[in-house]
Amino acid sequence: MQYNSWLYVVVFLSCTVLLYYACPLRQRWMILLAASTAFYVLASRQLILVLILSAAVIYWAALEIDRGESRYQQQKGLLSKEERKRLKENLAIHNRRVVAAACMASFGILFFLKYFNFMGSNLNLLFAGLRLPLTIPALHLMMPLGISFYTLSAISYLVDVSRGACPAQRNFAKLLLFLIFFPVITEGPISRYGQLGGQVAQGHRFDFRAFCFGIQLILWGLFKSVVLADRLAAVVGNIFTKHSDYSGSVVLVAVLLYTLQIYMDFSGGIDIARGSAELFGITLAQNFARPFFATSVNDFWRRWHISLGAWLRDYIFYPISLSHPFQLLSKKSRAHLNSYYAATIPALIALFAVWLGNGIWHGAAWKYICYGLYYYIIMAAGMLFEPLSVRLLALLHLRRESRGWHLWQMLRTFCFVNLGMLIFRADSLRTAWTMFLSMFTPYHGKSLLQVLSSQGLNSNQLEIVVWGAALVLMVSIFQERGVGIRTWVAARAIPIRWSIYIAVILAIIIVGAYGPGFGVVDFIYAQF
Amino acid sequence: MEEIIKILEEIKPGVDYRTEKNLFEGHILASLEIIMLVSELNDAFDIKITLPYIKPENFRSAETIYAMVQKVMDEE
Repeated sequence: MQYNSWLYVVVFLSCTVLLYYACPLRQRWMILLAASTAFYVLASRQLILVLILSAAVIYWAALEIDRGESRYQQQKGLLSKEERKRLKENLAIHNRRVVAAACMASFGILFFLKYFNFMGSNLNLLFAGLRLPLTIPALHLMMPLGISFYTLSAISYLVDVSRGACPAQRNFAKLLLFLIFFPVITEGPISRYGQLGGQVAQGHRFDFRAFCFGIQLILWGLFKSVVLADRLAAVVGNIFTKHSDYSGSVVLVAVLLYTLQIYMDFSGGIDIARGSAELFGITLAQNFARPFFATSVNDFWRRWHISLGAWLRDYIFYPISLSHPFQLLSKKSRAHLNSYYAATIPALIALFAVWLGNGIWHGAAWKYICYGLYYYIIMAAGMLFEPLSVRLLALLHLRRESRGWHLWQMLRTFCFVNLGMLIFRADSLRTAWTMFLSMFTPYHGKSLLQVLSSQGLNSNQLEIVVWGAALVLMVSIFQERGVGIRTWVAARAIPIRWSIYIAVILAIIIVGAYGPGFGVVDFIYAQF
Repeated sequence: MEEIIKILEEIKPGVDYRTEKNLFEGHILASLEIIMLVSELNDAFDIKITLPYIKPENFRSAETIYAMVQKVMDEE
């Protein structure tokens, strides 16, 4: 069931909301669990057992850590300082082992289902190269819905319990609800227990304002998804499939349209998810913050898929950077290098793991790994040349605070992001490279508008895309300036407010991408 | 406190650390600066700031960083 389908919005979500508020306050979480389970079973059938298995492992591990901590708290008053320290160290070792075992089990399931065939095919190539008579057979593996999202949420919960950042959940059904909560299971955001766990487990009273805000966000998400992203899916798909027929501006425009498509698709899906949760009085974490206003690649990843970046930072970057060997490396670096490079060099090593993880998380293909490493190279180059860049700017009397420099940084980042999207969307790395090169060869066929029209985006459709994108841009500019759009709409007089609501609803119904030439389009991030 | 402000100014100059209360969420201290800061604090105060302390509320301002250092020293 797609978030942007009428079945989800009109039937599933509406019925769940009615049942939720009809139920006594203390039992409301059970409605969410029942609805989330139904949503999951409809999408993945018996594969829900895989999720339950992961949840059970994490549940057990968290309770084991909690039991150890309770024992320590009971005993510490009776012990000398030295004994207390030893007990604490033993407990830390025990906790590390429990976390490692549970993470290996959880990641093991993810890696087996998502990466087994990829690893197998690469190993087969290696065996063939070495003339070894070995073959790893390809398996027909089914992926449970949202496995990449709930696995990261489950691991963050366990690590947070081990760090003392959140308590262990003693009720398995409530932990399961945190992992399977239907608004986040398909595309995220990757939830943290401290932010979402308590919210889903407690009943919420009906709040008219939050409810209205939720509906507004769902409508806005539907607008982005149905009017813009779905409209672009066909033309982008056609040009990328037949890329060898095109070059120059056609390929360039296809890449730009894909960037627009994936942004509208992913951020629209997240808006629907956040809006859905708000109907139950639950606030989800932000996953987007106007990414195309970013002034660097680093800044872009602080604004795009925020929850993934934050997860990689908290559970990969910090643990590696603060580990004993890295602290030693940092100390040694400070003895030989200036303070900037002394800090940068160890960080670059830790960042390699972060970006490799980012690439692998997106999918089992070399192009995704290269997608992650592409950003790593840009970021590493930016960090290494930062002192040189500062000196160069001073030499040229350019001010970093100037508007012109700011715009240049935004434009530069936008270009880097589009090249990244080309790697992400192309069938393979080879295709991405071919398409990149073909951009520099002028296209002498039909005019650009004729090509777009023949591939599914005629002038009327293009007009809708341009106006729709302009509207999203305008809203983003207001948000970037700190204006809360929903608060602004809520403060308008009823006629204005309702005119806005009706205009958005009519836009979704009338100019949504339905009918001949448009099919039901899966959310791009749902495949991860 | 003065020593912490001095360290912060060395890591990222041009910020009024006596008044700024949004160092983490405002991305004034990004993850790289947080790692630099932790290394410097570990050396300056002869402490070991571990992962459980790396959370936004400990890095919002010079005061919260100071409070974290005090807590780590007390626990050690």
